[in-house]
Amino acid sequence: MDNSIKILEKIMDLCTYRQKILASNIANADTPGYKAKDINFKEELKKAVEDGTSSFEIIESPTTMPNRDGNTVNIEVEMTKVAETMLMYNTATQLLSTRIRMLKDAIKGGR
Amino acid sequence: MTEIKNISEILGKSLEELKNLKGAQKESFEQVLKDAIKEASQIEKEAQNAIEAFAKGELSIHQVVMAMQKADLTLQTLIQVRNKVITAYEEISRMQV
Repeated sequence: MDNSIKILEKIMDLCTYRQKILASNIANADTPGYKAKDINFKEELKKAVEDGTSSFEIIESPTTMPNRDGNTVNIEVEMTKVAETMLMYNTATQLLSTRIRMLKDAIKGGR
Repeated sequence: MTEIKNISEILGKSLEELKNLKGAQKESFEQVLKDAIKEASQIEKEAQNAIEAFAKGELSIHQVVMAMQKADLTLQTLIQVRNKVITAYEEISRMQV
């Protein structure tokens, strides 16, 4: 189908995936020795759009000082990332629905 | 965003000048329609490019949404103009001679 629909789909895939990672980071906020994880959003999105891959590389997110128990989760940072991901996802859904409505209108001739 | 313009501004001529035009000088309805459709197609392409640029992180959210809405508005206008033209045609074809 339409190239822009494909791109938006990839953006949404990636947002869902990142959201899962962030959720598990928050869930493990008190786990000793747990390292916060993330994905390189821009890089992965570029790869997904160009090669059509749907497997993403997980990296250890760069952090400030770890806690005494070796845990590197910082709740505030994670919440910011969640908000960022949600914004991206919402934008993609809005664009996608506009795009689909445009196609439908073209099919129905606006009647 | 394209602002709503006076028709004489689009054609680059005043109403008085338009009245005095003769023959091939006249801006044909066909040409105006063709140009409008071409512009709509161009705006549509721009919206597609905007989405690609957005994916690469070159455009911000508001810019891509604006581009999309612009394309949507243009398409809706085009569809309505087409519907009006078809209605007019049907009305003429039903006319008793």
